[in-house]
Amino acid sequence: MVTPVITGLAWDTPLGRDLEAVWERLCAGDSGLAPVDSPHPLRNTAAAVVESPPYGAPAGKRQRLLAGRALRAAFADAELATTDAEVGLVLGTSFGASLDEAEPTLHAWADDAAAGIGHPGTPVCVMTACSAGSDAIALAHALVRSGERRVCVAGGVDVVTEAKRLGHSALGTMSPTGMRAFDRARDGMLLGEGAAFVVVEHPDSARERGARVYARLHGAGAANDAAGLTAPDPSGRSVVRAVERCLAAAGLAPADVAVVNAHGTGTPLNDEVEARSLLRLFGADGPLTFATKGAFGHSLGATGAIEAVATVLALRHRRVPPVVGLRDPVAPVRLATESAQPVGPGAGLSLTLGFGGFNTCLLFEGVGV
Amino acid sequence: MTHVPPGTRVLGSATVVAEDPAAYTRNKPSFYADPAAWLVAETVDRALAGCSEPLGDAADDTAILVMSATGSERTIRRIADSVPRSRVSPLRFAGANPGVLAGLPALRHGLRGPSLLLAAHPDTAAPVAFTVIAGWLADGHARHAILVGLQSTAGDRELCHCLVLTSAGEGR
Repeated sequence: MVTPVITGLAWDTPLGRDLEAVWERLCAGDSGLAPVDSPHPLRNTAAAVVESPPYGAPAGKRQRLLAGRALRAAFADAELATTDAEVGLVLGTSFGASLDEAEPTLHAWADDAAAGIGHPGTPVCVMTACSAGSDAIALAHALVRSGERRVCVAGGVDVVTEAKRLGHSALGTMSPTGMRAFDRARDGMLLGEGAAFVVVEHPDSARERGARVYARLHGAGAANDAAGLTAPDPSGRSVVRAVERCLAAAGLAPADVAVVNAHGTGTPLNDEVEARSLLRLFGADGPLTFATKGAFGHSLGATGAIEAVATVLALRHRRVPPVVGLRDPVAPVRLATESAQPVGPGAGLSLTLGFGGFNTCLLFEGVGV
Repeated sequence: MTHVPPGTRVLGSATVVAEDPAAYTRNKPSFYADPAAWLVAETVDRALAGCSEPLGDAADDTAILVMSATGSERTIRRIADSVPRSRVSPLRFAGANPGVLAGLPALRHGLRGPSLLLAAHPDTAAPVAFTVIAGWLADGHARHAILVGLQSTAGDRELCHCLVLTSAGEGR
């Protein structure tokens, strides 16, 4: 069975867009969350937005600019030409700009982003809410493993918009106080935005090109909750199933996992279900677990891809950033409460849980610096 | 979407042509999903009901993949219209997620296999969908897969087609 490799990484986040500089800021415990003006009454005005293009510019334009910039960076990091028709594109988002501005189709932003970088192909567009970025990478894994593609650039893009801020305020998923994933005092999430892409490549192609390999993408697994459109299944059975499917696809056992990048939304039920599921899977002495939404906010359709990049970097540097805002852990999971905690030998797992019941898990294995 | 994915066989299928997709909605005061999601759910209901072999207890291992370029755009537009008034319905916000086209049938039938929404016309997305489904079946992540294509046709009608698939070797 072919194990695709990761030969390029890029992210464009509220903490910047240089791969290593953002990682260092993450490990330093920095946060991009700050007040962002809104004409509407919100539960919280804090959000994590990118510096440029500025919040307030047309949302569709911001979505496309972010997508194009991160795509170009991923191609450049992998030393691939953006005009290479052999490279497949898989782009995910939740709503993008469609709740605020008229879009001709759900995938128009992805088509425009691809055209904007000079790519001649039609991108695949995945829309599975907060799992979209992970599902895009899982799809790329399937395309490369099957031989349909030698290389795919896959990830997620999403922007903060007024409709999303109003929607999460109305739903009560937005915290009125602040992001505290996995903390007993957690009371919701805060929105973020960004883009991230990984280059998923057939190992033979990477070898022939002499490409730098960051990690192996060992497997992907998914399971629907079949429990509700917003709230997770309290039993966590589908979260567990997604991870088990992922591990089985990779031929690995829970003991082989050294680090987990959890979804960690900071919403009361989500974190409880996720923490209990991780305990069930790995036990209290399980892998070191971190979460990045206290730093980046919840970037919805981009978050799975951003978290995938963070997982690969955690394996590469064998350390994890602290969970920003975590003081009193909700469960005896090995959560990263201090900065730059070391990661032992083993694989890295990235987990996302999305509205609509989408649970997706990606498994990476580092290859050393 | 006129072909069957290689390596699979069809256990059931259904096609629903809707003059008005809202005709199939079964929303309640406490539950809302976009009309397109209900049209998909109706088509999946019919395909499952007509399966040549009952899926039995296989719901935990049944996947669903939906292809649609337009998805939940009706609800998305309603939300966009409400934003200038500083009002977004929480129910509509949750039910506007394009992924709900796959999530609603999963919810109705307890499908806990992998699930995916490809935002593309079914003819465009089908080759990718076939590869994904082949992977799910080969890896044992699903024993059955439901493939749905939703598209607009002449006269603002919506055509929804559903195949219930299993591995060509399954049960033989």
